[in-house]
Parts: sequence; C-alpha cells; structure tokens
Amino acid sequence: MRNFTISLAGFCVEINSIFETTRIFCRDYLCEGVPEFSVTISPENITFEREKSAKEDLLEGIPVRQFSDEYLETLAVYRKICAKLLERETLLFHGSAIAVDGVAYLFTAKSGTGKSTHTALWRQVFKDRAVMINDDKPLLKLTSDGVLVCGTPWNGKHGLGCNKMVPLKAICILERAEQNTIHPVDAAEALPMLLQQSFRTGTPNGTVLLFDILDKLTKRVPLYRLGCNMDPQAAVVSYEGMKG
Amino acid sequence: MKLKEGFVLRTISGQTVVLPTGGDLDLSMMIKLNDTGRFIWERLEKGAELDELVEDMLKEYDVSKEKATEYVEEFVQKVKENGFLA
Repeated sequence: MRNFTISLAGFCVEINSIFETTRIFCRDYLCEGVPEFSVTISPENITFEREKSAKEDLLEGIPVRQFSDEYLETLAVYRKICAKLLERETLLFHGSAIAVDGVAYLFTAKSGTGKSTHTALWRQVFKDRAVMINDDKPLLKLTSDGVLVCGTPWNGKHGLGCNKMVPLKAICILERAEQNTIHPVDAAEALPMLLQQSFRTGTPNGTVLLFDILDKLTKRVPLYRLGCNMDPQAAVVSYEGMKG
Repeated sequence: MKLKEGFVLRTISGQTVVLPTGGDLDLSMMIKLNDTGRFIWERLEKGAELDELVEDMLKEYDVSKEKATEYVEEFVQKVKENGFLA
C-alpha cells in the first residue's frame, strides 16, 4: 500500500493506493495536511472498473478495450473521491473547461462531438489569455460566492489542465453545426444533458445529493447551447455570447 | 398500490423529475412530472389505493370527482405500463 495526500477542490484527501503510479499520476496535487477523508483501493475496486469499462464498450458497440491495473486504479480512486465530494457540494462534471481572463467556461457534449476541439480553438484565438483548467473531468464546487471549476489530475488523454480553481462563468452544451450560433437555454431543457454528464453513484443518497447540487448549479450558472463548426470564428461567437 | 423502490423525486430549477437510482442510468427513464403528477406520485410512494388518491385530489384541487377519477386512473395506468409499480 502506498499512502499520500492530495488537495482537490480545496479538500485534503488521503489516498491508499496499490500502485506507486497513482501517486505519480497525482503529483501536481500532492499536499501536506490533515486529510478530511481517505480512500483505500482494493483489488475488487480495480476489477469493478475493468468490468464497468468493458460493459460500456459493449453498449457502445466497440471492441472491448484492455486497460492496465495501474490505469484502472486511477479511475477507482476518482470514483471513491467523487462519491465523498458529493456530500460536500462538489461534483465531477464531464466536460472541457477553459478560463479566459480568469473566469472559466465549461463545454459539455456527448463523447466525440468536439469539446476538446472547441477549447483548442479558444486557445488558438485567445492565446495567453486562455488557460486550460481541465479537458475532461473537472470538479465543480459550490461556494457561497458562486461556483468554482477546479483542476484535477483526471484531465483527459492529452493531459490538458492545471491545478487551479477559477470562478465558473457559464456552462455550454455543444453541438456540431454549419453556422456558429449561441443562445441561452433554461434548466429544464439542459437537464437531461447535465445529468448525463454528471458523476453518479447509483445509490439513492448519491442521487439525491446530485439533484440538489444540479438544482443549485442551474440557479447560479447561466446555461447555453452552441452550434459550432471547426473554424476559429466559432470560439469568438461562443465567447461573445457568454462573456456578458 | 405502491411504487417500486429505487426512484428519487426531486425538483430541479422548478422542474419536478423522477429518476431511477440504479448505477447505469438510462435517461429515457427520466420522468418529468407536473404538480398533479407529483401529488399522486408522492402518495403512491407511501402506498395508496385509487379511491384514496381521488379523495386526496378532491381535497387538494378544485376539480369534479369525475375529472379527478379520470386523471388518477390515467396517471396510475401510465405508472403501471412503465413498470414502476411494485
């Protein structure tokens, strides 16, 4: 067992992992301090991740991908942490988060729609003003001052992200389109997508906690729907539509 | 009549929804309820018979018995069809 402590979304978390690779994976988030809670990984947790991933591949109709135990452990760690964070009004949300001039915009869509492609256009257009917070699985933390997007080690296959917490300006549902258009959407319309992209525990208590977080989130953060192509102009339309 | 276990009813930004709590969430299972739907659902959670539901409707809403019965029957039928009754 390896033992180390990381700081995630401002929470100090102790991790007991089987593999040293998990500590290395979390290296930018290591901290000293008294942990608020701890998670411990067992071989069963790794088996669970392997079976879950295989099941999802089958559902999608793609060949079952093989992953190493080391990689699967990182997934198991995040799953355990996120279950605890739900109790602390902090939610893992699947999307690509980028900050411009210190405020963050979060893009979400079904896999393969082009979230990462779109935030890559933002970096191209806004250059030094843009900072990738997390390209895949940021945490959203509700606070009395608003919602923060928090960087995490789980930042997608290209490792785009950083250990920063930035106020969240807007959430945007992204769709491919010929023309670039953006308009506000209400919570009821966005809800199925928001639920789909949120971390779920599959337990009654976790579902209640998630509902309450989404309720607060949609009251505090404006929601948009963007139709976009792959032209850099898409980033301009998207930014202009949300910056307020 | 009683609903199956494993559903959560909640209001999110004014929208009342019911979701199964099972791990693999199928979003086609997300049910949106209006006020009356919520009223009946909450009673079905505790276990209520058709006549009780109609009576409760009459106490809560300004409707005729005929209308209330029609509404309750229709709602319960839908719940049954979707396999939510225990």
